[in-house]
Amino acid sequence: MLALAGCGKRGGGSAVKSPVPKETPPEREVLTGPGSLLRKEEPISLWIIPINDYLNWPLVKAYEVHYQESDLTYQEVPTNDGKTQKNYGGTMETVTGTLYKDDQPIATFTADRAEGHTSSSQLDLNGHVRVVSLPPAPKPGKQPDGPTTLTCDHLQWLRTAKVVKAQGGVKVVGDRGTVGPMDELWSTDDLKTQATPDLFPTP
Amino acid sequence: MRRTCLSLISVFGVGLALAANTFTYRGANDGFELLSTSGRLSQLPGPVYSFVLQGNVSATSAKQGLRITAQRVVGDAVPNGKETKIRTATATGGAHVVKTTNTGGSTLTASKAVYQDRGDNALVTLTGSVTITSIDNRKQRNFNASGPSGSAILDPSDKKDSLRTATLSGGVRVTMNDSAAKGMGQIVATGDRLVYDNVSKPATVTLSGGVNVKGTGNSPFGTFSGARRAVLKLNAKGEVVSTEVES
Repeated sequence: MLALAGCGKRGGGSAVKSPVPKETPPEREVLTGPGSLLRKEEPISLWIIPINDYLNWPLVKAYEVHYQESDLTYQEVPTNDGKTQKNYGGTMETVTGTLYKDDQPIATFTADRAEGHTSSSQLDLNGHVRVVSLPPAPKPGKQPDGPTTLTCDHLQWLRTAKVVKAQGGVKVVGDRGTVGPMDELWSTDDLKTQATPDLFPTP
Repeated sequence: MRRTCLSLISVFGVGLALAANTFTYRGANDGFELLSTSGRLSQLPGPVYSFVLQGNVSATSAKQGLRITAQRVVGDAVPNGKETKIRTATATGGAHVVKTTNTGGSTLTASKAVYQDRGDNALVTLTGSVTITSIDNRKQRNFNASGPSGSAILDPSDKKDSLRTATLSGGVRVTMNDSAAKGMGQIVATGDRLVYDNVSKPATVTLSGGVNVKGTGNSPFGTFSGARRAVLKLNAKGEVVSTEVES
């Protein structure tokens, strides 16, 4: 399994002590068979972290992709503090996977292709995309929410913005009804709110 | 033939494109439907579905016999067993609230309509160019009133008269058939305020403030004007059977 951990904020500090080499190190292309990719990031809900403990706080899962084939690029980039940042990314074919929020799984997905990169929190899914929400456990005495299923041709999962942007024959099927089909629909990452882009709630 | 086929294909294609560009939510077999140019639907704890809809909005709850159309509707709906009910809705821009029953129904139009389901009835508050029309085909009753603002209480049943009461204020006008007319004859009444009470027996229309009442067509009712108050009693068909005037 490849672990794509680390996002530029912690490694690339603002205090510049040594110059960054002018030449960008070459990207290495890696073609693989079946495999998995786990991306970890800083928690979205930063308020849960004591301010003095921020740098030591463990990274949390962002997404996990299982693929049949992949075309990934790999690059080691020196950082200003003398360390090396490893950048991974690329295209994965015939994928299944899990999306996480604060280290908890919130949805599973399948698609023809996935594209992701360590330089971005974004995960793109293309072709026969199907995302199924994983509702949290109900409170005592309450009925559990059923899963919500979103299908579309293309989907962008913007983890830090907590937004799912879906395009192409978008349909969201929930417990009691269906939104769509529509050309474009945005959703919150828990698939509880769907909206056309102009009416999507801004944080 | 080829041109016809191409035309059909293009019409079909445009239809599909329009459908895909319309925000739609359809309940699973409960007759609840939201349609608009753009929209937002959220599932909240409860559960409650809150919605914001803009552009050629249509919100329908078949179980309630209710359809709301406007340029913008903001509201919420609650699942109740196998049906989903519109609980509140604020409709602005050419608002129409249509309540359909087995024998007719009521249509309320205004610039703005606020619908509130209250369990055993629904209150609709209306502002801006208000008209209230209620038809009962079984009783051949037809009630039509207009004014700048008002409210109506609707019956939730699909078997009874849909309009229980209505209040209009500020330059109101009501038209009713005259039971005494031989052939077509109507009574037209105007005033500052109107209260329609379809719950009491007989049903009444009470006008107050600068009341004018006039018979038209074959109505034998003459004309009086400037009355302080007038109470018009109606029969089951909604025809005026008597008029009490306070000058």
